[in-house]
Amino acid sequence: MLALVVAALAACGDGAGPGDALPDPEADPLTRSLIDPGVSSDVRIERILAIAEDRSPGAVHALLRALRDRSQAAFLLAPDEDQDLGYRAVEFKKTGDDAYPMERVAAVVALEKTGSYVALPDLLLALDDRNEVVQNHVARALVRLGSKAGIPVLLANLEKRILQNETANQILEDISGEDMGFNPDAGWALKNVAIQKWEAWWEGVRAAGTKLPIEGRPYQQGMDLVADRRIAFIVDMLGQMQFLYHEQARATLARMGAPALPLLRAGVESARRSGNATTRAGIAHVLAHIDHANSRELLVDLLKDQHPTVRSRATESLGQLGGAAAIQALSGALDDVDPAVRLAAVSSLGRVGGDDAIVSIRGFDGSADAALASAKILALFEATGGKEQVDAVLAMLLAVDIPARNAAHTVLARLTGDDAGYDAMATEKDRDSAVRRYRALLEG
Amino acid sequence: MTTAKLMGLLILLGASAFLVMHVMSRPDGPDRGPGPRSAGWEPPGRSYREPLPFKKSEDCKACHPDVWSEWYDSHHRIAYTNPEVQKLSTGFQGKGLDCLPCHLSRPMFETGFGVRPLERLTRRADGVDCFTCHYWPEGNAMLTSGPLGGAAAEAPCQPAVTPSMRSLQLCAPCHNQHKVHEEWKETRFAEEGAGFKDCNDCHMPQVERQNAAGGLRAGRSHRFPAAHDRDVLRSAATVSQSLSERTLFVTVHNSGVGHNLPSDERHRAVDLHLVLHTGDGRPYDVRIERWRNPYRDEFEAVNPLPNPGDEYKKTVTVPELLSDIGVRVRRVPAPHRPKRKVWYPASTQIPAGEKRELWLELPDGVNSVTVRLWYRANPFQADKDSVLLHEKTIPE
Repeated sequence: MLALVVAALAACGDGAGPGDALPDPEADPLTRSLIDPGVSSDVRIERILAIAEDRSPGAVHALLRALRDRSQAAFLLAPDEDQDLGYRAVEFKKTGDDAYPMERVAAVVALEKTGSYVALPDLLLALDDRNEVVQNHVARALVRLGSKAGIPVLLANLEKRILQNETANQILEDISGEDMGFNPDAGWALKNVAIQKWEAWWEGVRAAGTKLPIEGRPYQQGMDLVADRRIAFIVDMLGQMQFLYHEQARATLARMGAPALPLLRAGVESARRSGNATTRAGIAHVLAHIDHANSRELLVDLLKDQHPTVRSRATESLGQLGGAAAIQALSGALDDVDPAVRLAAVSSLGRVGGDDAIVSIRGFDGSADAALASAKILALFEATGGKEQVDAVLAMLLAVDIPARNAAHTVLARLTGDDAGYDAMATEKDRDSAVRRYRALLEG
Repeated sequence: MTTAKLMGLLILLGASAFLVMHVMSRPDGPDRGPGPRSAGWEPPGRSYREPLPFKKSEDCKACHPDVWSEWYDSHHRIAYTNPEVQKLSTGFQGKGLDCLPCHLSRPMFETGFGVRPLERLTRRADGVDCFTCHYWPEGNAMLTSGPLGGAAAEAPCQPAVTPSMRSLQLCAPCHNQHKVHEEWKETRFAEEGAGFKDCNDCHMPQVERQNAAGGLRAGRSHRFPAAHDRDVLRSAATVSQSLSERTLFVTVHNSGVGHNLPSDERHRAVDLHLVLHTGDGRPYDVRIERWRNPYRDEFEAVNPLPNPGDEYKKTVTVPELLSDIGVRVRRVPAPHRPKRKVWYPASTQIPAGEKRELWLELPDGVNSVTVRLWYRANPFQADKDSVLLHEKTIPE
């Protein structure tokens, strides 16, 4: 019964539900006080830190507004029934120089202290903040919320300038309890030794799934009803009109990883009921970034979707995730009624590679469309590790057709790990030089 | 039954009733894109049981050679293959993948109005093709706004009539990605009445076509003249200039466009240049102002004129003349809806009907000045590749 009451309360909650009108994000007095341009930055920071342990939704939402910067995401999104197209976008009014990164750091610190999962999606987006010090603090806050999504960002920031690399190292030490001897004042030879140690540490942690000393419990659906609604709204954004919504939603959900899967599955079911193929296609894209058995299972389910683009995107995503189960599903998709799905399937089999994939690619009939024929050549080339179709693929780099050049270049770069200085728009002479470099890479 | 059990039952019943009422009252998202059944879609009177025998735009050519030819010469056809697009989208890889749904679109009547389109991957040379706008998979029909002639009943493309073919919702899924549709809604052109103009009036102008009986009928151009059409571009803005002593006064008016100038893509730019002429015979070309919507990672970009009526001052240096030009710029509101919705706060695009007034003090030694307005497909485009919208030298 408690679950029923909770469900009822959740269903009638305010805020970010897909069908509800969001309040103006800057309307309430607390939010206004945190971003008040009439006081100094120091005063705003004091106000932010003063509510650092307040877990109430009002305080968390005010802190989320103080956290936001145009570099993290272009828009806040609010449904608006008065608009023909169903939504209004709420832009960030704060533009121009990066005058107040310390306010964003304060907001991150305050949100970390609240320990509220409501902040999880916004913190994941804040890893894109233009200021690396903000990114570093975000990475630590995320670990407290059970997410390691920020650790690669910390490692990358070790190679940045003095304050950026210093805070990155400090936070790596905080979250790991380790000291790799990184000295921000040392020369790069010494710093690189420490960076390599940190990278080896991360490889070990990732492979073993080690829980870090300060790591919190990972988010799961049902732990925080406001967070659930917020994430469900972000899934819903995948079905909206504008690409900015998609970009923002995809980045958030991909970084959230496995904890997002139940809400993505719910999103698929809801989008099937409403007939929104765009949402399902968006979810298929997101799943490519979540390497998990349930992710593959959902993608295989999406291969049976009635909309061909949903099936073709699910096919592409399975190709990116790879694995034996993917080969079987992709081989089946080679017979799809829609040529776009067949194209995605043969390309994905090339990417996954292996003997079974090669057999399937060889048996594929690509005669129906020029794009299918090219895709088969590229797939066979990639699946065989660059042993077959070499001349045909290198010839594509010199083709009249620019899309063919780009398609060949993408596969070559993926296979060799080198772009050979190729530019599809360059002169024939320059492209020819790149072809020779690619040939040398393949032969070497 | 104990009091506690009764209370429990009441809570259970209350919660259940509330949950049921809430779920029933909550829209299940049909306004968020259930295919063509969404708002604005008016189904045609007929659909077909047989699958359409056509698979590609080439199949439409035999019966519609004039329309096909217009489309073939249009930028819709090269939406995917256009080298400029391939470059800006990095070959539709990485972040460029997000460009694909609008540059290689599946049928709009399949994906639905009010939602983002979806990509088809194949028939890449056709870009945005006949099927994108006309094909209705659910009814196995090619849609038209009609009316249909007598021969249409036997036409192999299985035509059906729907007023939705004239709906702006057909254009919006792609062309509102950068808020063009929203911009238009706030212009005088969107007001019902004699001055009403929509996307079709400018970008699908009326043409005469031959009907099957040899007579003439009204049709719509499928060339889609827009930013790649010099005549359309040159009708976009009105520029005036006057010189009083050493003070040059220039006005740039978005007088002919039903949306911002420049519009749509973030890489478009409109530049006001002055070419200063001195006694040495050398022209000194200097850019005075640039109007565009900056890329999202241009964090330093600020719109100095956020509100109608705002003014700001700046200095433009002409290094060759060792001289600075003081410039004062004013944002003159449009007579119709002077206060507009701000979609992109850092954008300096000129909304429809608005003017920019500029006052400049010409440097000493300048005898005459040529005022030029350039339209650039991207901010890095050289003059030789750009379109000159206006050129006037004063004193003549």
